Amino acid sequence: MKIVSRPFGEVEIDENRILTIQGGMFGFEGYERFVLIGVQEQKPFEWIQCVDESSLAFVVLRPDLFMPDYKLSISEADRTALGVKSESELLCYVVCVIPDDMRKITVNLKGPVVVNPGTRLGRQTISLIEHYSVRHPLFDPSRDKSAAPSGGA
Amino acid sequence: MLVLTRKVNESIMIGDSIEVVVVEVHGEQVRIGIKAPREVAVHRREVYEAIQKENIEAAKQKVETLSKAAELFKKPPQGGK
Repeated sequence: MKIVSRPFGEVEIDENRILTIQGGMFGFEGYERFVLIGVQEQKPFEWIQCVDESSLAFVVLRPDLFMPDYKLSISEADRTALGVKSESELLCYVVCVIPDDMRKITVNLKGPVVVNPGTRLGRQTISLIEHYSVRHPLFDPSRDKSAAPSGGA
Repeated sequence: MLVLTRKVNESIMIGDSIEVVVVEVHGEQVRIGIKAPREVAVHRREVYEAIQKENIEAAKQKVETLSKAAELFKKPPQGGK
């Protein structure tokens, strides 16, 4: 099936890969059908693109790719709604905010988007882990001595 | 908005399956208990709003140069981590 995507224009997608984000993304309730799309040059970043609204898409990243100890901990309500007993059954993505300065990308660790791969049911959840931030810097400048020159580029 | 006054241990029913109970009042803080079916999510409003705000930002981003971010991602910060 063809859809129009925000990042790539018209793309061909497999209808069987359409996800249902129950209740939609916070702030965008009403839009539940999304599909994960991406291109090699942008990996590991991917997009969740709304199937029914071409202008609605979010850049996402799997947290295990940059934070191996990221822990997914969600409410029983969320697990029940997704039909799983444990978080280990779910795929997890965090939404990225990309400013003009690419080095200042932040990811939302507190509101992960989780998906039950067997049913393609997903949900944006609120992590029960207190200290996770909605705006976690992806490229932590305090660890990155070799990157940005202090003179600014 | 419906506004009701309750005393400690009194409660409010929302629909027939959600109950909100005033557990304790201590100075300016009210401890509220919520009984709801397992599939109903209950969260503090400010966390919900913070996530909503980030989503709205995220949905606005112009991202033609995401491949640049991808390159930054692949280059390890301190040479092999």
